[in-house]
Amino acid sequence: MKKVWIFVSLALLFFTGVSNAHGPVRGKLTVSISIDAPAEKVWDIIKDFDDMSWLPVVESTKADKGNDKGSSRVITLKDGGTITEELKKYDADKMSYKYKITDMSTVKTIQHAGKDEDIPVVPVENYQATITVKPKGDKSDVTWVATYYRGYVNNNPPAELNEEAADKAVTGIFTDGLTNLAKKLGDSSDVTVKMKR
Amino acid sequence: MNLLSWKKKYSAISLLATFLLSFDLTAKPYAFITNQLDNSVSVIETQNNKVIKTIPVIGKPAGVAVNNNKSHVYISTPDGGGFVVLDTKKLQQTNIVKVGGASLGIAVDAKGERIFVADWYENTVSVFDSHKFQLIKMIEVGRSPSGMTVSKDNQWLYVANRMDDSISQIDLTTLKIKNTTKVGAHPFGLSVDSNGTHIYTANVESNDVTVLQSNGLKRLATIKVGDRPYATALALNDSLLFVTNQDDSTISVVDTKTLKIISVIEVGEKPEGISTDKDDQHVYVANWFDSTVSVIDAKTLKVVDTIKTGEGSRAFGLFISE
Repeated sequence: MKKVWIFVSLALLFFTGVSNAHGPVRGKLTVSISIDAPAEKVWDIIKDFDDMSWLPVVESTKADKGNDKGSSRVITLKDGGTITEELKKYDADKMSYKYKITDMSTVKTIQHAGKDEDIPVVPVENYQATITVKPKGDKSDVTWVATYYRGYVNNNPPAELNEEAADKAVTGIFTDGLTNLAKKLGDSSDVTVKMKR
Repeated sequence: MNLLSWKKKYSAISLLATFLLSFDLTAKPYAFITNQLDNSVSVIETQNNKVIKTIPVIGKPAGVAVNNNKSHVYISTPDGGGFVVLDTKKLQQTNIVKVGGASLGIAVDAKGERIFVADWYENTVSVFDSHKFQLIKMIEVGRSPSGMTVSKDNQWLYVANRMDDSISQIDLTTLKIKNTTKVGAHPFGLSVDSNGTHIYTANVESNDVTVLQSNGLKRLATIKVGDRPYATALALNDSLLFVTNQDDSTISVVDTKTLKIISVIEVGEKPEGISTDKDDQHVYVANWFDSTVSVIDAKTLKVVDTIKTGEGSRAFGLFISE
């Protein structure tokens, strides 16, 4: 785990270093893990769009149309924050689904460049992600890919809404989720993180 | 004229004809695809859909504008504060032009004399000459100017002002704004038809396309498309409009007469830039997430080819050369 974090923070440092004074560029974050359990077993835990209980920060999940395309779920976090997501694609055969964030609660409001800026639960913009389980013999590979912009669309973002904040938040959620998923199946593997922007 | 001089003349003409013919054969249409995450441009030969070269371009290349008259292609580099010039014959970079701010949308006039660069943060369009790449003028436009396109008669430049939800029509004689009209929420890419009468804008936040008439820049219609439409392209004599829906990974096809959706075509993930080949029949779509280009046949409305490009293929603008 330590090794992973050193790598992640180095990667983040590098990306912030080159991405300060320019227009927002969409990032692509891939977090993956190899789990010593059959793919069906792994998929069984994550397959329901209205059940995010495998993610440690989640208190409850409610969806209006289950696993049907267009279904909207509200995830309530343990700290009270909420994230609303829409199911864009669901493929049980490929053990994969795609969703996007449509709404989020505000953590706090800051003053930046003479304006009020709301800081959402996850400081990202236009976020979409896909989670997929792939069998690898008796084991499985889980890949969680997110694409998003930083939370601030104008020049000179505040620290709460810059690329570093966005990457840190999403990397944290995905890493906690996938390591916890592995743990539920008795595996203590680490994740691999790949960030491109 | 005696026989000898006629013969000489004839052979000179046939030599010239041979030269022109061979010259013409080498001038193949290319699609220039910006790969934002790889800092490169993939060059696709559209006659066989093969990537023949990948040119390194630093600065997160995004926008593309082909200048057929000058054999140039201009690539905006939001991270490099300007644009680069590629030679379309040698397929290599020849110039770097600094603009400042974050250049994204880029276009060239119909004669290939002037280059227009939209600055996302500065709310300006910078006009450069295509000979020495010197700044001619800076035009104040709306907030976050993005997509731009020029009418074939070279009279008008159209600019999408994303944060203002509007389109501006700029007179290319005076370089002044003639009209500005509200469209849907957050217009990004736009197209103008070949006779210059209709303009189509892809509105990212309202999930629709606004149809405008050029005369007075009046709104004619709004057409619902897919999720987060990004850009547009016309094909088959302007009879069909193709719209990339980023979050649906689809293309909406609009019949420009009835203004109805006639087809929704699945392409790669995060389709963004879109352009029509010189045959007016094949439509090329850059898929940002998949790092591919989908080729659609406008007659059958089917994907006929998928070409591997680089990471983060964006290709925002008119990216196919003649």
